Amino acid sequence: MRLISCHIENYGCIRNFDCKFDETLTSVCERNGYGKTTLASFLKAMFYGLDMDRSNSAFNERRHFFPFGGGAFGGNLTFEAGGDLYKIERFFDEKSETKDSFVLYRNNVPLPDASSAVGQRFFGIDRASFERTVFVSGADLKISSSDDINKKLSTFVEGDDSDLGIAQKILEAKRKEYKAGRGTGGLISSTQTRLGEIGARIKNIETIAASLIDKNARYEALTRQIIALTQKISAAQSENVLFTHWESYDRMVEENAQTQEKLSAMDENYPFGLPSKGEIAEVKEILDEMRDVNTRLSHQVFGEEEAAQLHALEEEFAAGVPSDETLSDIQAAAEREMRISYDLERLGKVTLSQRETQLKQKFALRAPTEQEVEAARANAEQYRAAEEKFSALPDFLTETRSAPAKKSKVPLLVVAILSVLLLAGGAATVFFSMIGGILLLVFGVFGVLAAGFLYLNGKMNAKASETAQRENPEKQAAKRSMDAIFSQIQALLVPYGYSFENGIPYAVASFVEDVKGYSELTAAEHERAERIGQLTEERASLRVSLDDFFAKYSLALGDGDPLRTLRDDIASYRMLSGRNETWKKEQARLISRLEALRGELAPFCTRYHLDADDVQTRLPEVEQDRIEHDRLQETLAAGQEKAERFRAEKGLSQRPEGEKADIDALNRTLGSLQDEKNSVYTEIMQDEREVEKLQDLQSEYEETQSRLEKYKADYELLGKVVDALDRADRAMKDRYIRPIREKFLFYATPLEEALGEKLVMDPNFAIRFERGGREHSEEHLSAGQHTLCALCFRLALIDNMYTAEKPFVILDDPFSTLDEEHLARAKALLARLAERMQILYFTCHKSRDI
Amino acid sequence: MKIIHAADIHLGAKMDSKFPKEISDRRKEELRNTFRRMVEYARQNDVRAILLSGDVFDSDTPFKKDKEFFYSVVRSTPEIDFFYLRGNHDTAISGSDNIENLKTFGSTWTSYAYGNIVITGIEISSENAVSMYSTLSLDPKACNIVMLHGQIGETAGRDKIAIKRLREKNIDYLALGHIHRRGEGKIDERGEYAYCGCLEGRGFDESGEHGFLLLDIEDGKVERTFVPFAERTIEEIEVDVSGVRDAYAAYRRVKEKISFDKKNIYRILLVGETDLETEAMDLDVRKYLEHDCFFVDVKDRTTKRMDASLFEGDLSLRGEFVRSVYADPDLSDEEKQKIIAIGLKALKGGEVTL
Repeated sequence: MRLISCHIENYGCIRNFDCKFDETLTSVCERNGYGKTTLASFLKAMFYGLDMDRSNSAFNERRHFFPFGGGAFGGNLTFEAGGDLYKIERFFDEKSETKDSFVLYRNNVPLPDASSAVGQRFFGIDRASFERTVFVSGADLKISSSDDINKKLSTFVEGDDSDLGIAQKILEAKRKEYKAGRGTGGLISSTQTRLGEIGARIKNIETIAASLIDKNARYEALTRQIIALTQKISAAQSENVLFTHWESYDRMVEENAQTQEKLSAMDENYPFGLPSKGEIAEVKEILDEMRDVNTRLSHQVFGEEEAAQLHALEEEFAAGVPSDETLSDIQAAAEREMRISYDLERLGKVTLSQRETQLKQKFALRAPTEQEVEAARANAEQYRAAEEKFSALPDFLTETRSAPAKKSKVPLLVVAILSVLLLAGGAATVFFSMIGGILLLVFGVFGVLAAGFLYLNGKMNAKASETAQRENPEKQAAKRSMDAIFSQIQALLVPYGYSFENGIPYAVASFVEDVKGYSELTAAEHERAERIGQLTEERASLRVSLDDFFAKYSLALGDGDPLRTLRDDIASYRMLSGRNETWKKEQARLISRLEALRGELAPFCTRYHLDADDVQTRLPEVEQDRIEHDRLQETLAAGQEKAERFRAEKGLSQRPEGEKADIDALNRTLGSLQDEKNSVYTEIMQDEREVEKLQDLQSEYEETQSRLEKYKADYELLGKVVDALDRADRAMKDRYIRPIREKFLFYATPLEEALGEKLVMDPNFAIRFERGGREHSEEHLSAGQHTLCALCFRLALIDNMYTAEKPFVILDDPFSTLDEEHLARAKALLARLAERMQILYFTCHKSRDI
Repeated sequence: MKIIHAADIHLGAKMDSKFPKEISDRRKEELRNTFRRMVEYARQNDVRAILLSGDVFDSDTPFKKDKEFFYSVVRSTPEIDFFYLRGNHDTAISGSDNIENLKTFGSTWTSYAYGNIVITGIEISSENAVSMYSTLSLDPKACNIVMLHGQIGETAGRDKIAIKRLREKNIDYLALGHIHRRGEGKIDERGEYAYCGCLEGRGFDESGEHGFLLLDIEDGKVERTFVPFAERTIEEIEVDVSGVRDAYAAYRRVKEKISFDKKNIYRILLVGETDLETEAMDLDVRKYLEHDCFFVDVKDRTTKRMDASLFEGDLSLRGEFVRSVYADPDLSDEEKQKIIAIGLKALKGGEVTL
């Protein structure tokens, strides 16, 4: 294919632009921004159109190159292919490719059914492949080693977004998940292991399940055996009841026989017969009475003390016992004696009253005479009369008179001196004679008082004179009479200690009364003394007669109450002597009774050949035997009756044959069967629990197996994917890349000229060069040499890929890194290459213009 | 007289391996409970007899607890007679403990009469599989109910019933077991046969409605009514998710199509064509649906949309890869789709999921 010309109506920054292409090499040297990339894009757009503008795409050529200045967006391209002239006419919508217009002319004739995929039609490759091959930029040729070449080649064939190496790694990693490279790792292996485990468990459980048939059969058999044995035990139990009844009956008969034996043995012990209960009872009574009589005979009536007492009393009353009359007289005499003693004691112990004592003290020295008493009584009467007179008289007589003449003080002085002398004499006398002293003192006191009276009277008379009143002389005379009487009374009573505080009548009355009382007291004392004398004499007489009486019975009056003692002795004597007489009579009666009882016992002893003296000893044994014999007879009768009744009740007519069944043994067998059944049941339950797991295990087995198959299928699938990729890779290499080597070598000739080195490429695309007769690694090539090598590779690739039409190549300033020497060589190389392929060369610098 | 016709209880049976253990265990309990409920239903509806046309137990050696459960239910319901015909699963079952209301059958025809209604049955074995037809003799005046366990067909044999050979045998109703899906048909002019199906579906291969048949016999005529009785219904439903790009979109499609019942069990088959780059959706869709029902299983059976022409002009390894896979005659279309999807993803450096 050769591009001839193009017209750009509007495309990016290019407007109304026409361009004619050289048949071999078209070089465009323009500044940056001129539109070289735009032109390259336009050429591609003519062959392949523009992708729809999707707002979410990062870069979109339709959007990028849309002419915002307006005008038709597109143009045309004329080229020659297969000998025909073609022209593509395309105009683009701003966004949607469906609104694009497209016409393909062949030899100036439009092809109505032509596909818009012109590039696909002519080059046989899609837009991406086209883009990757025909556009060569500087970066595309920047290589530093054959590894870079390989990588770029891979990218070239795999596409920009594909990476075989990564894909292989991903797939390999994924496959290793299923099956590890070494060992037993991986899902397949672990699942197989698990499957094996589950399978083993299933087999195990299936074995258990198989064994369940036998166990269930055993269980059923045991159930049947248990039912049969239970029935057998039930029947045996019924039969055993009959055996048991016969055994019970036999036991009863045996017991009766034993009782009979005991009776017979007992009868042998009594050849003359066994006394009846009545006989025994009678003998017992006789023996009891004999024992009682003997006991009573052996009993002592008196004790030693009582015997001694009786003996003493017999001696005491040897002369006879005093009569009751005698005793009554003695008692009366004794009582009289006691009465007298009491009276004497009472009379001897008379005590005076306080008054009597005072009277005795008062009148001990001298008792007043009756004359003195009468005188005192008369004085008292006189005094009373004088006093009444005195009281009846007025104290003063009223008369007007001058003051009386001064009264003489001599009497006053006489009285006073006399009184002092009396007091002094009394005080002195009292030490020798108390009464006389006291009397003098009393007179002295009276004298002092009289002196005082006179003095005061004198004073008052003096004052009366002043009030012009005069004392009544009659009254004064009465007063003096009274005083004289009083003095007489004082003289009599004061020696006996009487006072006049309560008045003279009272003192005199007391005196009279006291004298009277003293007289009576003195008379009573005299009478008592006479009585004591009489009683003392009578008592002495009584004591003599009583002493004489009691002395006959060895008693004395001073020994307590001898009469009571005597009476007690008499009573004791009478009682003891009475008892003695009574016992003697009873003893005779008892001996007689004892003989009679022996006579009653004799027939019994004779009948049963018993020694009369031994009966007492043997009778309890005989009686016990009698009781036991009777009991055995009753037992035997009851036992025989019971046995016959039992036989009748249980219907024991005929003894069963054979032996009694061993129920315990049967029950033991039943128990062991039940134990075994329980054990089997437990086993079945346990097994069934295991077998129940079988379903889950089977499910798990199926699921695991299914998973394993899926893993295997997945693994296989991944293998197929890997194989398919490998095959595709190999096909790619076979189809596109391996011929590159040959093509590279084809291009190597001009390249050798350009590089000045002889180039060699090994099967792995490693470039080597000969220098100085030796091959060297491409690492020794310069950067410029590497760029040229890369260009040759790219061209070789294009040669291989484009089998239909050879495309043009757009070189977008690829040699910017070359020095002048290599650039010159590159230019020469391009000239040579352009002979085989149309080249569009863009550069922005004249130094790199071709 | 009312009679229940049930069969294939399969006490102790294994549940679908797709069910998780807890679901499986729960379903086993429900299986027993549904049987118990059926008996309770019978008691409350004056049902006189329950016909169990085979496979009450899932094996000849059922678990003791299942066996004891069954006999306990029978024993505690003396007012109802249970006609227990052993099937191919529980052929050798034994130990009925002489329960009075449990009527059993053997290798020869056995009949039980309820007035004019006679229930007759035989357990098919290799020995009697051929001869049983000729030995069957029923009173033409009676209302004859016959119980059998096997697959009806043209030929006779073990577990096979030659339906033609039962014609003109005076059968009014043939109570069949063995087939877990409900079915019915005519024997001859007089009689009809029916499979009541199993009581509960045990897996996705037993989807659909399950229960028992209630027979109402009056004047010799048998009227039957299907009574849905399963605790849960298992449903398998295809949902076309063509064009969806991810699992959520697929989930939305499923929800649009299916009105889920919380107590039921579902298997959703995702079908249709999706983009090459659409990842497997089953796990995610299942996750999204797990709260909508008792249990759900999702299978992604979608195919990938592939257009080889898209890669015709691709001279890269990718194009070469796609073309070479397509050209490989040893690969199935499904394999090709998978290989291309995985290969392209790996080439892009993406994570490969399978």
